Amino acid sequence: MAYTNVHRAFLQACSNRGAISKQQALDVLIGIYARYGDGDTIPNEDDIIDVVAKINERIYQFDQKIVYTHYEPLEEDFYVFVNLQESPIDLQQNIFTPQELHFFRVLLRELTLSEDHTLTTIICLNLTNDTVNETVKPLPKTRAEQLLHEWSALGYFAVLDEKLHFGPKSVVEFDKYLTKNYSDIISRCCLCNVTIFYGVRCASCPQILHKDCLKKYLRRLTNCPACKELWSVPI
Amino acid sequence: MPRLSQSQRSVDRNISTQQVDESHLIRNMVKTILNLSINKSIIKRSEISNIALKGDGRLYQKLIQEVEDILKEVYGYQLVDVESKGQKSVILCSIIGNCSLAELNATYQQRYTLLFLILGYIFMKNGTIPERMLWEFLQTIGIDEQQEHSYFGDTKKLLELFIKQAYVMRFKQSMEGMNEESVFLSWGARANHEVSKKEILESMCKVMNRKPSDFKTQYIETQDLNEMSVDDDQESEELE
Repeated sequence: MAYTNVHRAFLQACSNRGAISKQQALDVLIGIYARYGDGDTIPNEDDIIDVVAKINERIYQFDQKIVYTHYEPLEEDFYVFVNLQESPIDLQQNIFTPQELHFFRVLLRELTLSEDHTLTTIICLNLTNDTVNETVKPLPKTRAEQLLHEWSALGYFAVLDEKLHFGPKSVVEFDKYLTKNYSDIISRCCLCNVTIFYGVRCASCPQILHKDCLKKYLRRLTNCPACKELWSVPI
Repeated sequence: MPRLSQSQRSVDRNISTQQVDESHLIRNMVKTILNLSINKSIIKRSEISNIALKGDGRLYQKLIQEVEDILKEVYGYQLVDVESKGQKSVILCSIIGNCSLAELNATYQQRYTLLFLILGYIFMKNGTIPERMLWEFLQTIGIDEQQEHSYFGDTKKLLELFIKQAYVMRFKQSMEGMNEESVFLSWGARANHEVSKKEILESMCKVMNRKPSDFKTQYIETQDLNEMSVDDDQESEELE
C-alpha cells in the first residue's frame, strides 16, 4: 500500500481529535476513502490497522505514534495520538497558560491519589484553589469547567457517572510518568503486566485486574490469580 | 600519504556529523511547527529559529525546504508565508480538503459553522466588506455583537480568533470623502488556502434556495480553476 492522502487525512484526524473510538475511526476512514481511496472500496476494521501501521512508520522519527488501546471504563477500544518524548521541544505549546497547565497537573495528581482514580466534578472545580503559590489568583470556575470539557474532548479525561476519570489519552500518554512518580500507588495487572488504573477488584485482596484478562483466566480457573482465594466478585 | 588520508577522514567525519546535526535540526523544526500550529496561529520565523535552531536564523533558509517537503509528504500540510506586523511569518495549512466535521478537533466543530457564515457573506459580497456590515448581517440571523450567543458563545471573541488564525483579514483603508479610515474584512491567507470557494458558494445557495450559477461573479471564481485545466487538456490534444 502506497502512502497517500488517505494516510495523511487519517493522521490529521487523529492528531486533531486526540483520541477516537474504534467505531469513530471506522466512520472517519470510510469518509476519507470516499474522497481519496481508489475505487469503491469500503474499509473495515482491519484496514484501519494497516493505515495506522503505515502512518506510524512515518511519524516515528518525530516521536509520535497512534496507539491502539483498550479503555477499561467504557469497555471500548480507542486509537490515541500520542507524543512519545517529553523534551522541551515536545512540550512546546501555545494553547494553555501556565496557570491552566498547573491545573491539569493537579487533576492528574489528585486522580492518581484518589482511591478508585475518580474525582467528583465539585472536587475538580475546588482544585482550582491549588495554585503554584499564594500570589497567583485561582482560575475562575467557569474557565475550569470549560477546560474540563476541552480536555475531555481531547481524550485526557472522561466524565462517567458524573465523575472525572483518566481518559484514554492520559492512560497511554502518562503511563510512564505516573508509574515512575507514583510507583507505590499505581499497580500492574498481574495477568498481563500492563499498568492498570481501572478494573475489577478482588474481594479478599487489594489486587485489581483488567476485566478481559480476568474473564479469560476464569474460564480455566476459579480463584484470584494473586491471593488464590475463591473468586467471588461478579463481572 | 598517511597524513592526507587522515585529514580526508576528519573532513568526511565532519561532513557526516553535519548531516546528522542537520537531520536533528530538521526534526526539531518539524516538531516545533506542528506544536505551535495546534491552534492554527501565525508563527514568526524568528520563533521557530529560537526554539528549534537555538537562535541560528541563517540555518532557517538552508533547512526550510526539506522541512516543507516533510510536512507535505508525511502530514499533508503546506507551509505558507504570510506577513504579520512586519515580521516574516508562516501558517500551516492543511491540503486535505472537504473534511467532515468528525475529522476536526471537537472545539472547532462548533466554530466552523460561524466561520463559514462569515466567509460566505464576505465571498458573496465580492471579497471585501466594511466590518460594520458583517455585524449588521449577523444581527439579521440572530447573532448579536454585544451578547453571548446560545450556540456560538462570544462571537466577537471568535471573530478576533479567526483573524488571529488568518482565516479572516482585517485592514484599514481611507475611503473617498471620509475623514477617518474605515475597517474592512476580507478572506485571510488560511481561508484562501484551506477553504473551497465552490463549497462555500454551494452552502450559501442552499441557504438562499438558489443555484450557484445565479451568482455570476462568484460562480466564475469557483470555476476558474476547472476552466484552466480543461484548456490545458485541449492544448495537449491539439499538439498530438
